[in-house]
Amino acid sequence: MNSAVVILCSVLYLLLLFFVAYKAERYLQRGKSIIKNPYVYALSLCVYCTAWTYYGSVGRATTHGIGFLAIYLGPTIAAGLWGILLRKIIRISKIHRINSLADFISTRYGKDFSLAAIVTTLCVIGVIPYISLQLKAISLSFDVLSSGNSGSHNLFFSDTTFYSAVILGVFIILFGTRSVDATEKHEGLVAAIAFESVVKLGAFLIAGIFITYGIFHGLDDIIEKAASQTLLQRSFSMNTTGNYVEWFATIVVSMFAVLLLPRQFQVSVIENIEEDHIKKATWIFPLYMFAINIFVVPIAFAGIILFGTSVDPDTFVLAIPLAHHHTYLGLLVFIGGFSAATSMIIVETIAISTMVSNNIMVPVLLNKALFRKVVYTSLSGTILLIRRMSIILILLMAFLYDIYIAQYFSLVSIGLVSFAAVTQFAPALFIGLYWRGATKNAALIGMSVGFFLWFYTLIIPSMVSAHLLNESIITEGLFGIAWMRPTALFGLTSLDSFTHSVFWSLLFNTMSVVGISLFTNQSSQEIYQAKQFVDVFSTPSSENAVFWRGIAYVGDLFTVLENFIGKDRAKNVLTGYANRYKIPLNSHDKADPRLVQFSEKILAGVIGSASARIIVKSITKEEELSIDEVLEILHESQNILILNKELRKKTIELTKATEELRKVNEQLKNMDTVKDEFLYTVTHELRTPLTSIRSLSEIVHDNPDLDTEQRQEFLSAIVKETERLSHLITQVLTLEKYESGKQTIHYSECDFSAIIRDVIELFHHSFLTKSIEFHVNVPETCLMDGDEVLLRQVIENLVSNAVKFTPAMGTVSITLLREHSVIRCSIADTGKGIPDEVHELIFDKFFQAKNQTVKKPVGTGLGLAICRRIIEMHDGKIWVEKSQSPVNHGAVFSFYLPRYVSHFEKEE
Amino acid sequence: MSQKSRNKRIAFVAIIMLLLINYPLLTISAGGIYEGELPHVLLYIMIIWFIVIMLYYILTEWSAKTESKEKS
Repeated sequence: MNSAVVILCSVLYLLLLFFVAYKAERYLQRGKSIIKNPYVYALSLCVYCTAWTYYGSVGRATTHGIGFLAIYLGPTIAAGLWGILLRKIIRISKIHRINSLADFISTRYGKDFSLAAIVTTLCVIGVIPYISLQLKAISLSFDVLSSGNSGSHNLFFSDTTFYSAVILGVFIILFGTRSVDATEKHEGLVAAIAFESVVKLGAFLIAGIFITYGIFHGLDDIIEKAASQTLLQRSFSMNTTGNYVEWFATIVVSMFAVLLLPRQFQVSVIENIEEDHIKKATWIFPLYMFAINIFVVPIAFAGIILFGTSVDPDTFVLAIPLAHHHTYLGLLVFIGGFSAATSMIIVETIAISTMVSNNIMVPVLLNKALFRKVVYTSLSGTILLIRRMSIILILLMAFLYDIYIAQYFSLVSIGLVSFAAVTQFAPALFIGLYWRGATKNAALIGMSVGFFLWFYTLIIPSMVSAHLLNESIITEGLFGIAWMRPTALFGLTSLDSFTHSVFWSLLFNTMSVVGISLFTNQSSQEIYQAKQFVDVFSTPSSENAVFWRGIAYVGDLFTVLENFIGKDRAKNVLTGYANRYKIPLNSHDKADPRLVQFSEKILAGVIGSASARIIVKSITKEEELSIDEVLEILHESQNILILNKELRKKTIELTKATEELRKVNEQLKNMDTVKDEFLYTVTHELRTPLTSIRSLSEIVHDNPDLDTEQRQEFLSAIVKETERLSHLITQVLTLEKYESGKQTIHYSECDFSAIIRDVIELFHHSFLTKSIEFHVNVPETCLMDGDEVLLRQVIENLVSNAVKFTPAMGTVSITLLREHSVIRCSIADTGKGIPDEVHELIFDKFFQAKNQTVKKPVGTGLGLAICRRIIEMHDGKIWVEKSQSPVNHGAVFSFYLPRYVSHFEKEE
Repeated sequence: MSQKSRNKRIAFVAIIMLLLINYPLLTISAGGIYEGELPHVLLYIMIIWFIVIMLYYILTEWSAKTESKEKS
């Protein structure tokens, strides 16, 4: 393909990237954030997949078989620990306004400048080659796509890498250094990175599908053909322990790298908006790793089958479509690789430039007396300038590395070397995160030792391979000492160079951090910071704990903040804080210690905690706190925390008690209402017969001449009403006994069939009188444990109701079913039925359905309530439903009662 | 399920994955592997990988739904 077309497409793609970033920034100005989305966060983490993944994985698969997977399996395992680990790191970073990996480690160990500087230096040395690798990948893929006619690489202005670096530099400066506050989110940039993640995955999958199913006939076809390739013998075998150890070491190193690479720390911690986004990232990020690796082995095998050794395996993904004259697919693949490289360069450069400016350049300048004076003048522009210069410097270093050094190394070796470098931060960071006793000196020495061993055992051999150093150091060892051979340190010869380096460097690093911590003391600042980090989830907000003593003036604090973050913002943050904690804010007054701490934290967000410490020290008369005082403060904080916890517990208990009281009160109110209703109904029910009795008695009393027949009639009516009255009072008393729990059940084995038959016998006369047809479907015996008297009362009530509400010539049916552990009984009639809406209410006291044939149904209205109580006391349940018969629309009263299985067996 | 216990469960899944993906390779490397065996190991690892991702999904998303229901 014509190189001009490739350049044009690259430029267009970069413009698209600019557009995405610009739109995201505009969106934010309208108060909406694109990156406040867990999917965008998860996709931004996929910046882990660089050009090394895109091109290098295929290359590694041809030589190491499945060994390439270790680099992606490690992060998948690490993602499972994010809920515990990353959440803690994010929480700490937000509280302390941390803006880089170096800042994080330095803040943990007492905001030490030297520690921040050493972490930054190690990052630069370890990661610059990795950035250079991306530039190399861009030029390599460009050469393949443009058939190597991109021109000479000897002149930098004819090198595509140079122009890529320039355009990326412009992009990073435009979207990565807009605000001086490094803790502020890079909205446009993160949106662009997430977009690039989609592009590179899409391009790689399309290429994989085309190669696997378009050029070959699926996976089986490729594997079958590959098996016969002698070049792939190594890929098909793993017959030495060394292979396995390398696999394991790569998994461990990549587990650390996914968090400790500056770009990963930047996107996962610094750019994180909500801690809860970790939830989605926990599965989306590994899924992305999985998806991008599906076609790596097929492409690698396909490349060997098609090209053998004639084409660099790193370029197979691009070379295969081009060899089959699919130029546009090749261009798409190139754009995918381009996006993988650019996203890494952008984020890594921003992360490192922040570290370089905050942890090396600013502290160095602050130590100069001249610069200290200008602290009182506007510095936000200077900081931004330093950061932009750092970006240019980093890209320039990466470019120079690419031109002069990278040619001696493969893509794979550079990537793993960087991984091993950043792994040296792991002991200091992770031990410091969970062990308060880890000291600054231990971290400093541990990292230095680890980094020295990394350089000695991994970089020196690479330099020898590239003929940059004499080979004697490898064969004979340093100064001719055999046990100091870089590839066989202390005589360890069984490991490959990568594993060998990782093993010794991590071992000595970890031993130094732990061992030296046991024998060195912490400063008061370290003790305080260690507590803040280790117990971040259980320590009260650091804003409340006063950990500063000295003399400072509000005016000085305001001036310094104004110079770094601008007048308006400085005013806003200080006023907001002062109002929140009711602190006086007069510029001539002495500043409250809490205000000094807060100002330092705001400054830390801009220039890092180490530099912020230097500035605060320079504008205040600070008194050093003794270790005892620090311990006292921590003890007080702990006490406050315990008190707060107790208070919270008491508040919860109080809330619960209030809620319970409210419920009880509600219940009492309801009961009171029920009681009133009950009293009203009872008195009403009593008054009706009493009125009749009184009227009839008065008639008899006032008319002594009443004839005998009529007098007899009136007296009979009085007796009848008196009986009704008596029955009603008996029912009320019975119900009260049930409800108050005074009524006890006398369990005994009884035959429920016999009870039903007895009751039917009792009502025989009533059936005949009303000409009611009666159907009985009851087994011969039905044994159960229950109170025979009470159960008889239930059946009597239900049958009595059925007879009462069934018109003449109607039908009443009783059915009894016996099962293993339950008996079911139903009494159906052919009356008018009961409306659905009162099916529940009908069992309430004094409730009587209104749609019966008579205006006022005969009865007390307590029968069904009593039935329900009796059934419930037997652990059963009673209900009413409509008759299912298409002819009759009466009511069906059903209930079930539990019984022992032994009863069933006895019946059998 | 509380956030703490959910995180512990996910971490447990991650550790199990570490063991599962290493076990066959450790066994193979100790005894040697004959030609053609590795594609099966690759398939095994990919399956384990996918199952672990699904477990991550279930443990994070489903429990998150339960949490939000409990809150509401």
